[in-house]
Amino acid sequence: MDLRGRLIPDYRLDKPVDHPLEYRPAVTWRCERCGKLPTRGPCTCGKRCYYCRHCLIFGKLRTCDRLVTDPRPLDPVRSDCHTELNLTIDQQRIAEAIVRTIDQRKRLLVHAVCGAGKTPMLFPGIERALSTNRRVLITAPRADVVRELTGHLRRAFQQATIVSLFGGSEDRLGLGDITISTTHQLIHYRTCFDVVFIDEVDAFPYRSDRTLHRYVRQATAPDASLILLSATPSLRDRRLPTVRLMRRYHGFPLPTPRMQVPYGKHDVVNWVLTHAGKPRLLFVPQVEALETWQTCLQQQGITCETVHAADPDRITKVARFRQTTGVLLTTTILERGVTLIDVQVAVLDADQSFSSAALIQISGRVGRSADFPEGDVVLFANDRSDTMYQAIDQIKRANREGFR
Amino acid sequence: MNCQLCGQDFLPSWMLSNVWTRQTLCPTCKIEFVKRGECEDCGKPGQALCADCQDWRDRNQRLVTHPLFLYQSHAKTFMKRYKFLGDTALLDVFKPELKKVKVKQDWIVPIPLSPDRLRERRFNQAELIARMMRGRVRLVLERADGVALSHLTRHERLERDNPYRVIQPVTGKTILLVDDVYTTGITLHQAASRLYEAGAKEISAVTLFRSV
Repeated sequence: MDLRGRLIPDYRLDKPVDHPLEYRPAVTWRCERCGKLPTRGPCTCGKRCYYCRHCLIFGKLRTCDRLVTDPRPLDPVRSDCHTELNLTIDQQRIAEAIVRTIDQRKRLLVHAVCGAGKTPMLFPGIERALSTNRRVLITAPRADVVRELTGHLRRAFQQATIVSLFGGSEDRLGLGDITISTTHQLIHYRTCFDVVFIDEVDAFPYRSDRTLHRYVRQATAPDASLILLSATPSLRDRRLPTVRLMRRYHGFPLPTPRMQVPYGKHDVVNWVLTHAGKPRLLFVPQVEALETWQTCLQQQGITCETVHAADPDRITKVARFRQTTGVLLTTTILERGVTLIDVQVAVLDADQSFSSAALIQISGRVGRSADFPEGDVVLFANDRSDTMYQAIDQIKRANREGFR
Repeated sequence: MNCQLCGQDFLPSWMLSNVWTRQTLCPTCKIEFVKRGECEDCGKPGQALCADCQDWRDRNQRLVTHPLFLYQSHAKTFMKRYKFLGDTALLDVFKPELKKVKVKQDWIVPIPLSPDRLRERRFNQAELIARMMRGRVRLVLERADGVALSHLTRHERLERDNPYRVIQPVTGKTILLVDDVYTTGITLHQAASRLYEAGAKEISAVTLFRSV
């Protein structure tokens, strides 16, 4: 078991190793793995040990446990060239900025609209990092995004070892030249990545949980260059040096949402019927609203499916929806990371509990493919909220900036 | 304040009695814990005396057990965190209920773990429950190594021979047995029979949950 750059509890160490290992206390005044304050609870070591409740799912850490790591240096990185790319001029500008940041070991925020083609813009940067012997980490908030990115990168980089980490993946605790990981898995890594890309920095787990940023910071080397990617960066992230890309890769503008205030059930039904023959996504604010809308649409003879975060077969449902031209009712879980061809989107009760970033991401689902660059986005609401106006305004401004 | 179980933020109710009792569960989690059912011997919901308990009575091995809650929905999440992930501080959630249990018996005896299991888990979940109640806790039982019960079927459980042993004199004592979950009752009945053999006068039991 190779433990270089990794930090695991000593009871996870199954085989004895022949080289010296470095042991550290697991819980001091804080948890040495996740950095949160520990709680006190009974233990059979004779005392009441402190243990960490926050990283309990990765195995319990007590004061009487130890963390183990291998202090030897890591293997050098194998350099690799990516396959041929055809980037637009705008994308090239961003890619050059990324390469420059990596050379200068600085930080950068890439503010690019939904569907700007962020993934291929990373490839020149990754290539430069690998050729200068630096280990690359790409981290994303969700496991499905990690799987998709892994596929992209395996096709682009043939030589380099690519490891993808998420809950339940087969290469647990692996470390490749390029590592693609969900943020939670980074808890086991220490100072081993020199170039870090964080995809969707404003997405759900990062926004509410600052400890995830700590996981990333602990996993990176002190002089690492950090590149954040987002379509709707928070004000906090906007303090970083920023490059902006306000144009989609196919060169068409972002579809601007239109408002329908107020609305009734028949408006929604009419909207669903006018777009018959195309896949239609309907976003609702709460899980409870899914069922009421489903019955409401079924009374009108429209069959539809529902998806929410706690749904056990949500992956199969979304995969089935990709092939058909049906109606899918969903909560905000599908707001990012999904690409559906020629999809039409409606947001029901858009004034309730949707942030402006969520509305921008939702309208970014539309017109992502070059064959169908346009589509319909409707915000159904019974009240005009600031978030709706902000979202529409920001999309319009992005279009103005992109087509100046 | 954050709910200990689901982690959600909630506003504790502003009642005078809440000044000295700490609220640890949010209202939505709290109502998920259902109180024990009708069966007078084991608390199973349905009949006044369930078929299993009738069976034990026919064999003249009656053991009155008081489960606090039914083992369903949130109780399962609780047990997963408490027992299998080892979140021992989570037991505070049941502190008020456990303190309220009236213990008239001389000793409280938790069901022991096998040494191997104790080394692996590093705490005895029944002992922690027992220590939270008002009474004198004595560890008079010991358990030989055996297969974990949760992997066996009901029939296999009943067939298995008794793994418990009494290691202190208990002659003439009244005893309250404590366990975490009552499923078939075989564990408690085995422990009780060993204690009766050793001369205990009267035995009853308290468990946190009754599985349904």
